[in-house]
Order: sequence, then structure tokens, then C-alpha cells
Amino acid sequence: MEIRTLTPVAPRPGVVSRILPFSCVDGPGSRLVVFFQGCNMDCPGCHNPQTIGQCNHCGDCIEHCPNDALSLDRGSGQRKRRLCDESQCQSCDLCLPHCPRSGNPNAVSFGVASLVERIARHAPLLDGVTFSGGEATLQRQFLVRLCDALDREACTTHLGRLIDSNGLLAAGHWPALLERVDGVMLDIKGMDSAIHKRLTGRDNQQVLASARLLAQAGKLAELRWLVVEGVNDGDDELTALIELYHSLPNPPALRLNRYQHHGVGERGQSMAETTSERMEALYRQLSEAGVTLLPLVRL
Amino acid sequence: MSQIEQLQQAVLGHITNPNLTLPQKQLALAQLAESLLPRNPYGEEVEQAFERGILHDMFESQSPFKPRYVLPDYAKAMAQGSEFLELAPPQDLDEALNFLSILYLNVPSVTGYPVFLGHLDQLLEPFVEGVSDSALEKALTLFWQRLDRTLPDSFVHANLGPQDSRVGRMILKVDAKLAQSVPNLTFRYQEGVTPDDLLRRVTDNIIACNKPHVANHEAIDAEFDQGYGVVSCYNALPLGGGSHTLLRLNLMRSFELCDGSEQDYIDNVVPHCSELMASALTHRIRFLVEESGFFDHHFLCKEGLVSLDRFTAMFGIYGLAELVNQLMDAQGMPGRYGLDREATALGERIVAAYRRQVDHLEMIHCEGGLMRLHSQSGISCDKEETAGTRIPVGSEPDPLSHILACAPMHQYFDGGISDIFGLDPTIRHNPGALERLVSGGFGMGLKMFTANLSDNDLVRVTGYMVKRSDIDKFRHQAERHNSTCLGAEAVDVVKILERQARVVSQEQHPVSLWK
Repeated sequence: MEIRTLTPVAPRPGVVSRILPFSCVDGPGSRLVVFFQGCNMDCPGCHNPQTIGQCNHCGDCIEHCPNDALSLDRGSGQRKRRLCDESQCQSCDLCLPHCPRSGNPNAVSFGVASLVERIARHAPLLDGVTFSGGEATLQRQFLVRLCDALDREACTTHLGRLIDSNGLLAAGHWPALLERVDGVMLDIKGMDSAIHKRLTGRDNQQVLASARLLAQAGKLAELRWLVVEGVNDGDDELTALIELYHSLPNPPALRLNRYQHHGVGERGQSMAETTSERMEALYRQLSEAGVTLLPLVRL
Repeated sequence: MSQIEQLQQAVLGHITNPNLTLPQKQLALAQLAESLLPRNPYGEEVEQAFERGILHDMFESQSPFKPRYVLPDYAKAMAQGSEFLELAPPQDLDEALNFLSILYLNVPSVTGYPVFLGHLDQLLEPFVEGVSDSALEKALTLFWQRLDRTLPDSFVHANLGPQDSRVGRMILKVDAKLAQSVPNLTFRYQEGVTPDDLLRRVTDNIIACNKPHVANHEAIDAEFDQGYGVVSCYNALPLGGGSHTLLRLNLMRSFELCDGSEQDYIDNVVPHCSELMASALTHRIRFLVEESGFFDHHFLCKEGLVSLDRFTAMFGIYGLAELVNQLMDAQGMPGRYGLDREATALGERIVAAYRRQVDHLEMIHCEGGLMRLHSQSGISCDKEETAGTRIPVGSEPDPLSHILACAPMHQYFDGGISDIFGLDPTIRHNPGALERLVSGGFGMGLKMFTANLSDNDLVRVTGYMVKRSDIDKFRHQAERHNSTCLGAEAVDVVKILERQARVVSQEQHPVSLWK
């Protein structure tokens, strides 16, 4: 009997919400940030909620593009595919409010080679790349292949690599990523599981486990706490956070971020913005408790 | 009203203007007189080109009696003293600072103030042995104040580097501490010569007060036989010489001369405009060198501190973005200069074509018989044209993409070019990012790196500085600095302070300066 080899399935592309060629706030030095599409949390306070949803090709967004960049490609039967023509897209983001799943109609699929090429173009002006989103680790297989390709390319091999993560990745999947990146910047949204669920839609067990795993591996580059005044900044939360910090081997610096409404969807508007006074007070309290903090961004 | 009555009214207006200090009033009167020189017309074609706005004379007269920019060889002056100024060669730091301060008051330029103060660290370093850090800091602080108070014009420009020195580091410290708009400052950086921690000091200063510019020393020095200085805004010119004049070509307007195609523009318009420029430049330079007597009588020339054979002239261009966008429109293409690769590449081809012209057009009384190509940073009357080869104000992309788009232009300009990169204040927390942009940018051929953080009190206008606080003062009473009134005009005309990375193209324009 003839054995037919199956046609190998092409590796899945990465789905990217946006590439920011220059950032000085997503890790040390000059960095390019890749915001991957799709997240497994659903934070009401997310400041780029269009990175949360995954497109299901419903086509509701198509007619709202003023530049004819969006189209619905119809295949056989019920098959439809939303397409965004990058050459027409002006990144005006007028399509965003029309996605019922908090997705991004102008998200783009990248093969590894084309994303490497995009990064290579900017490489002489970069210290590193940060993988964010959305939740970058949802596309971990793509990330692995991407990192390997960046290593192989002469002009990108020197670039530092960091992942920005919500920490929901299971323990078994971290090692493959950790051997390919310099570190992970991790968000702790809440210590109490009820508070965490309110702020993210998910439980925090896995997040805390990831914090410990990353710290153990010496790959926890930064711990971040988004302070939502009146929600996750009570005494119990603070105590628990300090305890967590001191329990970690090789604890990294803690970055305090102030909750603001900029970019936040309707759900998040009901939570008040955190005041600078609260930030200063928390900064003092945490410092006194022996936590190493990054300077507060006072602007 | 007769012409003489008009003139009298103008004089009265200047002397009673509450916004002008006394020296500024006197300068205004002198410039008014200069504007009344008997006509010394250019040829007919050139006169028409001026009228159509294709050429712009930078408000320089047709009969200039002093060069636009002068770069005295200060090291030579300090070694031999000055007969005219009755000064012996300085022997210690006090004498050196005194010598330079006096000499500066006697260096002419288009603004009336020296546009070049010398490579200060190289000039002063020999005098600091045995001087303590605190004494050095005090001496340089007083010197820096003296510069700002006696030469109140931020086109006055000092250079440092590329080598390390006590004086260089102390000047950086003093400059950041005082945060004055005068003097303008450039650090000439060279990888391998400038230590890394000194580059860090430079970038820290930029973050603190938007100064200094950083010059790619290796790249610029290669274009000069005997050294160069960075002067005025950011012009690179021969040391011990200077530039007779600057004339600029309005690329936006030059589009009118072509049939809408790139081919016609490059084949016909480029040579035609270049010839017009050369004719006008020849006219002015001839008067300056052959009739005004500057080079025969001025003490700087007689004492060998500047010499005619180290002079050049600047062929300036501006409005490249608008020219490119018009050409793109004519072809029905949507790409925009600086933002789309096709459009930016077209811009580069045009610049290369002008470069070829400048390489071959002979110019009288210029070093090597050639002019230098200069990316001119504009004047406050430029409502529609973007400065030089820059990306239009308000549509600049992120700093990285900005550098990528603009770096390829720099190789063509041997008379000075600069883009201003607007930086978000968050870079304060990540100074390493700025270092990377500087060194990476130079690696890509950038010749000058100029940055502007949006929230500093010192705001970069083109290549010079004004203080926001001074602008408010200017509105209500006389303010010391000549350049502030330009800044104030920029604030009103182009709302410079309301837009983050917005920069206004300006340069001194004597006659219309004082309103």
C-alpha cells in the first residue's frame, strides 16, 4: 500500500494588533514593541481593549472603514474571512468600536520571516524588542519560532527580548520561552482572588504561580501593579503584595502604574482614576516595607 | 506719504517700541538703514525668480558688507594675541576667558553677534592645570552668564568634543544647571574617541534642557580639509573661514516650473534653478569680496584669524516635503514624504540631483571653487513650506521611524542639515534609549542629532532655543534676547507651544524682525 505523506501544515502565523517601532516605557533602552492580538483575561480597565478579542469573521466592521481597507472574503458555504489591506489601512481605528468581540479589524497576520524583516529594519536604533499585547504567550509557538529566527539573523541577534505577560501561562509552557528571552515583565492585578476576578475576569492562582516560577528562574524582569484606587489598594491587598514580594527569590523592582481612563472602554469608566496622592502614599508605604520600586512616573 | 516720510515713521516706530531693549532699537535702526541701500539688482531672470518666490534672499541685501557667518581661528588668536584689540596671548584661565569674551564682541555676522564661539574645551583645557573643580566651575559659570548677557542671541554657538576633557564635562554641567537659551551648543561625538560615559552626560543634558545638539564628528570632519565648526543653528562651516552668504531655493515653489513629472523636474528644473541660485550667489559674493573691502580691512582678516581662502557659500534648499507631495499628487499617488517609502525615495532622488549640480557649479571666492549644500531651516514667514528636508510639522512619526526616514538625506549635505526629533518626556526614565537613538542614528548616516522634549522650559525652535518664560515676558515688556521675538512670533503664528513635536522654521531676518 502506498503511504502518502500528509502535506505539512504551514505553521500558524502570528496575529499582531500593532507594532510600535519606538518605545522607552516597555523595558530598558530603545525598544520595538509587538502587541499580539488576543488575551485570556478580560479586564474592564484594559487601556487597549481592542487587543482582547479574536476575530470570528462576522463582518460587522467592514462597512465602517473609510479607506476601503476592510473586506469580507467569501468562500464556499458559510465560510467568510475578514481581510485588512495593510496598504490601504491608515490606522485611524474608526473600525474598533464596531467589533462586537473587542477585537481589532486592522490586526495583521505575520509569518516569522516578515516580522523579523520588520524588526531588522529598525534594529540599528534598538536595544531590544518587547512582546506584549493582548497576551503574547497565547501565541507561544509563534514566539518560539520568532525568537529562534531573530537569533539566526545577524542584525537582530543582539537585540534584547522581553515578554510582557499576565501570568496565566501554565508552568510547563514557560521553559521553552524562558530560554529564548531575557525576562518577563509580569502584572499582578490583585492579591485577593475576588478582587482579581473583578479586575480581570480570571482567578489569580496561576498568575501567582508564574510569579514564583519566573523569580525562581531569575527571569522576572519586573513586577507591575496597576493601582485602582478604592478597589485593589486596601490594607489587606498591600500586606499580601509585600508578603509576596519578600517571598520571591531574586525579587525584581516593582513598578506602580496609575489607573487612568485613557483608552479604557465603557466598563472601565465606572472605576475612578487613581489620584497622584494615592500613588505617592503607596510608594512611601511600600518603600518603608522594604520593597524596591522603580521611580514613579510623575508627569 | 513720501518715501522719506515712510522711513521716518519706521524709525519712530522702532525707537518707541516698548518691546525692544535699547541695543535692539539701535540694531533695528542699523538694519533699516541697510535695507535702504541703493539698488544693485541681480540679472532679470534672477529678479523674477525672487519675485515668484522660487528664490529667497534670507533678507540679506544685494550689497553685503560683512560675511553672513564668520568662524575665527580662536586657537590661533590665543596663541598670538590680538594687535587690534591690544591683547597679549593669555597665560592663565582668567586671561583666556577675558580674551575670548572681548574677542567675541568684535566678531561680525548677519545677526550682529558671533555665530561661532570656538571649540571651547580644546581652547581652554591647556589653562586648567592646577585649577580646582570648584574654581573651574565658578569661572565657567561666570563665563556662561557673560555670554548670555553680552551676546543675547541664541544663534551664538559653542562646540565641544569629540575628546574628553575637564572643561567639556564642566561646561556640560554648567549648561544644564543654568539652562540658558544662549549659547547654542553642539557636542561633536565620535565613537571610539568620546567615552561612553561622556555620551551619557550629553544625553542626560538633552533630557534636562534640550541641549546640546550632537554632531557626527567623523562624518562631518571628512568633508572639511582643515577643521570645521558648527555655527548659528546647525551650519557646518570651515574653521578659520566661514560662509559669505546663504541663499535658499524654495522647492515647493519650484514645482510650478515642471510639467508634473519627476523626469521633467530632474532633467530641467533642477539645472535651471541651480543656475539661478549660482547667478544670485555670484552677485552677492562679488560685492562682498571685491567691493565692500571686508577682507582687506577687517582686523580678523589682517591678523590671519579668518582668511578668504577658507570661505564658502551655502546653497540652501527648503520645502522638499511639499515638492515631493505635489509630484506624488500629480502622478495620482497617495504616498507622503517622510511617511511612505516611495515618496521619501523620490525626495532622495531630487536631493541627489541637486547634489550633482552643487558638485559641478563653480562659485567665485569659495574654497575649492565650490558651494556647500545646506538644508535650510526656514523663517517665520514660511506658512506653507516645511523646513529643509524635514517631515512636515505635526505629522512626524515616532522618533525611530523619523530617523529611518531622514537619515538617508544627510549624506548629501556638506553645509549643515538637521532634523528635530520630538521626544516624549517619559524618556527621562530611560536615558539609555536616547543614547541608542544617537549612536544608532549616526550609524545610519545621521550627521546631526537634535532632540526636543516637549515639557522643558527651553524649547527648540529650529536649531536655536527660546525659553517659554521669556516669550511671555516679551509680550509684556522688552526681553533681552533677540531670538525671543522670533520665538514669540512662532508661538503666535504656528502655536509652537501647543503642539508637542512641532518645530517652527526660523532664522534671523533683519528688516522685518522688529514689529
